[in-house]
This record gives sequence, C-alpha cells and structure tokens, in this order.
Amino acid sequence: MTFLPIAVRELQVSARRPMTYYWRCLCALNAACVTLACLVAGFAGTLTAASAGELTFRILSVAGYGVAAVAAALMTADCVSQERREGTLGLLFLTDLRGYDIIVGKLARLSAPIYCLAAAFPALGFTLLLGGVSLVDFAGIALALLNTLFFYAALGLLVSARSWNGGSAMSAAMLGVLAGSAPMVAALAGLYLPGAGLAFLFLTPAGAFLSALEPASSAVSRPDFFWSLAASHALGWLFIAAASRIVVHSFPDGEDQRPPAARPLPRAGAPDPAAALYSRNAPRQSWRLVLLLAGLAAMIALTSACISSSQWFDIPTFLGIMVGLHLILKYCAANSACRALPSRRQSGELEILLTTPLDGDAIIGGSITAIKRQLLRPFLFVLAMDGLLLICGWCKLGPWEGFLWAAAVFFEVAWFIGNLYSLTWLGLLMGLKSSSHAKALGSTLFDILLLPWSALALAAAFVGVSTMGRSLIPDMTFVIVAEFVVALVVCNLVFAGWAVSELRDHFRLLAAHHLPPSQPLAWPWKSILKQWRSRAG
Amino acid sequence: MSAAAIEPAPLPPPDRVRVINRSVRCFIFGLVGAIPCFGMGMVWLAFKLYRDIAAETGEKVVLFPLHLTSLAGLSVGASCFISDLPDGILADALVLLGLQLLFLRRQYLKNAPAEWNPARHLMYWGVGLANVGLLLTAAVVLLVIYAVNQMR
Repeated sequence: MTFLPIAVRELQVSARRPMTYYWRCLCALNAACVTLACLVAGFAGTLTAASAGELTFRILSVAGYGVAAVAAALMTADCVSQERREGTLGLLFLTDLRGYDIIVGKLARLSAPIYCLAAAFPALGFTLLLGGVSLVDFAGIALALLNTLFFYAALGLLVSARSWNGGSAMSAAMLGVLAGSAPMVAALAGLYLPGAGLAFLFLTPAGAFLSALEPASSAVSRPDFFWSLAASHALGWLFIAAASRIVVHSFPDGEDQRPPAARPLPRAGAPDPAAALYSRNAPRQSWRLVLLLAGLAAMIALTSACISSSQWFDIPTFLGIMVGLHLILKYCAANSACRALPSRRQSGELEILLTTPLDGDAIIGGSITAIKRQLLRPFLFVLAMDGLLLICGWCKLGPWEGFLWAAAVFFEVAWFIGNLYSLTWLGLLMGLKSSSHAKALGSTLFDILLLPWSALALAAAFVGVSTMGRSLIPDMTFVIVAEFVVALVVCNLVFAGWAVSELRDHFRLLAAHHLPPSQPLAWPWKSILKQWRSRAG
Repeated sequence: MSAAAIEPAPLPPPDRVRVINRSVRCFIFGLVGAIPCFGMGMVWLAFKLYRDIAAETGEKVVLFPLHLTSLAGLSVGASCFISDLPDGILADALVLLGLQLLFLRRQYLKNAPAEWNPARHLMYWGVGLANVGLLLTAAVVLLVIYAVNQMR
C-alpha cells in the first residue's frame, strides 16, 4: 500500500491546479516589489542601507506570518467536515485507511502556502546583503513561519474533525488564529505580558515568531525562541493526534452533528419568497455576533489601558477598535455570502427554486436580502460604535484638528460599506464557482481586501525605480495615498461589477455547476497583429 | 462538397431581454468607467460586455482602428512627456478622443448586427464612454508623473 495515499492524491490535485503557480508567482512578485521599493529608498538616501534591510525584513516577516496563519486555517478548517457532509468520510474508512492517514494526508493541502513562503524567502534573504539582519535572524524567522503554518493547520484539522458545518468550522479556526496572534500584537504594541500571558504566548507559534522578529536588546516581553518553537510544534502534533482519534470515532452523523432544525415558514404572503426560504434555514447568530464585536472592542480598549493607563484614551485605540470591528464584520459578510447559495444547491433547494416562476434575479435578490437581515444588527452596532469613536476623537483632538479625524472616519466607513457590498456580490459568485467553501472564502477575501495592498507594493516599486528612489519622501505621501485609494476603488468596483454581470447573465449555468464558456481575453495587440496579417496575406 | 456543407451554422436566436439588459449594463459600466483612474476596472468590464453582446447578436467586432490610434496617441503623449510639453499631452488626448469617437460612430452606423438589438446605441455609448475614461486615465497618469518629476 502507498504510504499516506491521501497525501499523494492531494499533492497531485495541487500540482494540476493553475492557482498553485499563480499564487506562488504573486507572492514572489509582492515580496520582490517591497524589497525593491525599500532598496531604492536606501540607495537614494531616504533610508540607510541597514535600516532599509531591517524595514524590509520586518514588513515581509509580518506579512508572511499573516499569510501563513490565515492560509493554513482556511485551507484545513473545512477539509474533513466537507468529506463528512458529502458522506465520503465513511467510504474512506471502508478501505485500509486509518485516522492518521486521513488527517496527515490532508496536511498535504499546505503545499500551496509552503510554495508561496518558499517563493518569498529569497526576497527575505536579500535583506542579509543590505545589513541590519543576521543569518540567525533569517533562519529564526524562516523556522517560525513554517511552524506557524503547521500549528494553525493542525488547529484547523482538529476543528474540522469536530465539525459538520463548514462555515462554523471556518469561523472557529479563524477565531483560533485571532486568539493565538492577539498577545503577540499586544506585546508588539508595548504591552508588558505577565506570567499567564507569557505562558500562553509560549504555547503558540506567535511566541517563537516574536522572539525571532525582535532583537535581543528590545524591551518587548517574549518567551525563549527554541523552547517556544518546540512547545508549539509539540502542541501541533498533539492536535493532529487528537484529530486522528476524533475522526475515527465521529465519522457517522451523530445527533449533534446534524444541521440545525429549520425554523417555521414566515406568514403567508411574505414579500420575497426566496428570502423567506433562505431566512428559514439561516442560523440565528446576529445577537451572538453583536456580543462578539462588543467583546472585541472592550478587549482592545482594555489592552490599551494596560499598555498605558494615562494615554489609552487616544486616537490609536479608537482606530484599532474601528478597524478591528470592520474587519470582523467584513469576514462575516463574505462568509455568509459564500455559503448562501452553495448550501442551497447541495440540499436541492436551489434546483426546486429554479423550477418555480422565480428567475435568477429574484433568487439572488432574496439571498442578498437575507444576508442583509442577518447582518443588520451587527452592522448597526458597528455604525453606532463608529459614531461614538468619532465623537470621542473629536473631543480628544479639539474642534479644528477633529475635522481631519472626522474625514478619516468617514473615509473608513465609506470604504467599509463599499467592501461589504463587493464582498457580498463576489462571495455569492465565488460560492457558486468554487468547489469548496474554503476556496470561495479565500478568493473573495483576497480579491477585495488584500489585492489593493499588492497593487500598493507594485506601485511603490514602480515609482521607486522610475524616480530612482528620490520620490519616496514625505512630500510624496499624498500621491502614494491617492494611488492606494485608486487601487481600493478599482478593486471594489471591478470585482463587484464582474460578479453582478456573471450572476445576472449566467445564474442558471452557475447554479447547475456548469461554468459559462469564457471568451478568450482580447489583448489589443492581438487584434492589431490579426489585422496586419490579414492585410499582408 | 455541397454549398450547404460549407455554410456556417446559424447562430441560435439570442435571448433579447438578456441582450437589452447587458447593453444597459454596458452603458452603466462605461459611465462609471469614464471617471479617470477610478473607473479603470469598469472600462475592462464594458469592453468585455461589448464583445460578449456582439458575439451573441452576430455583430462584427472591429476594434483595430481604436487600438491603433490608442497606440499612436500613447507614443505621441510619451514624446510630449519626454520633450517637457504637458500641453501637448492634453492636446494629444483631445485629438485622439475626437478620432476614436468618430470611428465608433461610423462603426455604429455601418456595422449592423445579424440580430436586432433595441439597446445597441446604449452599448456604443458605453464603449465610447469607457474609451474616454481610458484616455483620461492615461493623460492623468502621464501628467502626474510629469508633476512628480517637476517636484524633484
């Protein structure tokens, strides 16, 4: 028998997927752009060579940590639960496979993020030549990033082995990432961690990462690198062992693993039958989400108060609360949108709806209305918090300087609302197009939230190279900010427009899982060459 | 070989409601795409929709002059940029705009589709506006780079 057959299959699937190569190229490109921008700034005298190297190292390391943690959780959180929902987990156990075969085999899904990290490592290693970074720092960060990937993948597998619902598994894994990384962020912000906090940090990969990132002379509280690395790695293997055991004992659908019972239908004559049908099965989570958001806001305020009891009531705290709440709600909107239609398709409800006089527009409209109803209370809570923070900031800064703060808040809220709209539409489309919930959610979040940052890195490298680094000065802040705003708007508009267009034109094909035929991309030079050849011929 | 064998298969009748909806959407995308810089993505969507609608209604897509004039205009604009002539960039953009709009109008009048599309004029308006946005974006980018170079 082949050793770890599931791993072999997963690796073969991954090798045949074009996205494996695109992601790798994108990661290498982003890392190269950041390095290039800092490098030309160093050459132009805006930064010294050593500080340019150190800055690049820190930016790439923190970005690598974020990508590794989120990608590992997203790629593994729904892999076993998906098999369970589709009823194929039991079939796997009819063969000679054991629990660890399945769980360790699913770890092979990490091949794509490992390739991405490996593609970014040369750019990270380039900082060694610039100075300010030693070989030990580089090796420490590389080890810490690989350990982060493994730890959060193991956590995702454990969550997946316990779950039936893909959305809940994903949310639980992301919550784990948030909880595991929060102490590190607090420590980086200057919080002195007491014994219990340091012990928690010691058991997570964030501890080893923090030790590798911060120089020994810094005052940031952190655990010992090697012991933290060993402890978190051992904990990861413990998660794998627990998941292997759980998956053997819980593969049949138990009472507690069935989807929640449907609610009674709303009263007759409801204005939107599709929304009514969706709302009937939608989980009641709006109050729980409001409580989670309130808890997060309180935790950020408390952490700030612990860092500095005299200066916690200030703009950085308000900004942290605002951005944190917005990010959580954006994630929830994308998650709800990505599973709105596929879950209906899986249960056969979508097929039944399509046989009624309802057309595609009505079904999409119904789904969007249902998502809006589901997220209305959390959205109102976040808006109320924004208003409160706006007033607090204005009181803190005074009447005239408060205008700048108010403008920033209005921009952030407008961006937040625009993102919610784009995430909802793109999530609905990706949910129908992708083969799994994790892929749909990952693509949606990447396209709307992360792609503008890639554009920023690319633009910084372009501007840096074209002006030989002389433009990377504070005077150019306005141009760079304007460039970033343009990238944000373009990403939101183009993906929302594309999703609206595809869903309205090909809804029936997408619902039947028959992807519409794509027209070849019309590059301008192709039409010029074609015309040229036809005239010459 | 008989004549019937070499005749291309007739196109399936298009869903006219869908074609009208897509034409209206092409106009909206073009309208948003006319905003310089911010509408860049919508420009791509408007051109994509134009190609899709044309394929559905059997209309011949001839974008060769549009691309060729854009290429020529970009070259002239870059030359003005190198020669330190910001007014030249604006003049080039305006001349190019006039030429391309004339071409699109000519194509609208002479290139009749096999299937009637009542909202065809909206589709052409959308493509025209998207083209305006594309030119304005190119001009703005060139002018910003020029201004940045002046700041140094």
